[in-house]
Amino acid sequence: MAIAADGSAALSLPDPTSVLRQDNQKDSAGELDSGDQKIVPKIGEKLKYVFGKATGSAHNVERSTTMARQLGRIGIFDNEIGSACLRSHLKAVLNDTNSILKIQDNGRILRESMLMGPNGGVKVHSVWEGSKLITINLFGT
Amino acid sequence: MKFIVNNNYIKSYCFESYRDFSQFIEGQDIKKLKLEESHGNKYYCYLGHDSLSQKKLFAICFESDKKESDLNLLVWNSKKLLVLDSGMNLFFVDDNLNVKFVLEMLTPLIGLHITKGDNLLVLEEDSARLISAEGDILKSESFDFIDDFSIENNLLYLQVNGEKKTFDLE
Repeated sequence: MAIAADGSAALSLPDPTSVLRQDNQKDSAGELDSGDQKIVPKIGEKLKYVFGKATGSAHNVERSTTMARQLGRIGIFDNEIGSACLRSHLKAVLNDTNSILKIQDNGRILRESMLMGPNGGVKVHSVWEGSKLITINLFGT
Repeated sequence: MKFIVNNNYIKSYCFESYRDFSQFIEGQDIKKLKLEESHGNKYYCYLGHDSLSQKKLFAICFESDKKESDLNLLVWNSKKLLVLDSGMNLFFVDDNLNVKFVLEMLTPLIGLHITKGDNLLVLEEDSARLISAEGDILKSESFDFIDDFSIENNLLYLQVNGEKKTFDLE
C-alpha cells in the first residue's frame, strides 16, 4: 500500500489476479489473512451499497447511486475487478493506523483514505467497529 | 424560491476558493458567525435576510466537503434555534448567533426530526440520538448500517441487517 503525502492511505488498482484471490477469502471479524498476516475486513454485503444496489430508505438509494456514479467516474465499476479493488483498498485501510481520523465514544472508528482508479481518485471515509465495516462515504468527482 | 420563517429567509452561497469566500465575507457589513469546528474544501455562507426589506441581517460561515444539496438546515422554532449540518457536525445556533453546542457525527446524516416531546431526533446511518434543546443526549443507540426506517406513534422502527428494532422517541 502506498502512503500519500498527507499521511492518508492511498491505493491504485491492484494486480487483478492477486486481488481476485483475496476476494475469494471469506470475511471474518479480526481474522488474519494467512498470506500477508493482515486483518481481513468483515465487509458482508456492504459493497452492494457502494455499487448502487441499495434498497430501503430513499436516503440509502440516493447515496448508493451517487457512490456508484463517483466510482464510475474514476473507472471503478460493479464487476469482479472493481469489487476486488475495493476489498483490497478496505483491507489496506483497516490495517493502516495512519488512516484513523476519529474514534467515537462507542469505539467506532472513522478512517480516511484515498481510493485511486484508472481515471482519478476519491476521498473515502469508512466507519469501522473492529474489523467490521459499518458504512462508507465518498468525496470528490 | 424564498422560504420564509419568522419574517426571515436564508440564501446560501457556496465557494470553491477560499479567496473568493473571504472577499465575499469581508464585503458583508453584518453580524457574522464563523463555525470554526468545520472543515472541508467547500466554503459556505448562509445569509439571513429580512423577508420584506430584503436587508441582510446575519451571516453564518462554515466549511464542508459536502454538496449544498446534501446539507441540512433545521429551524427549531419553539426553541429559537437553528440546527446547521456541516456534514461532520451539527451546530446548534441561538437567535443571538451564538453556538450553544456542537454535536459530532461519524456517519452520514439520514435526517433530523423534531419529536412530539419537542426534542430532536438525529438519525445517522449507524445510530439514532435524541437530543434536548439544551444539548443533553437523552437517548443514544448505535446499530449496524440502517437499511430502512419509519416513524409511527412516536416510535422509530428500524430495519438493520434483516432485524427489526425500535427506538422510543418519548
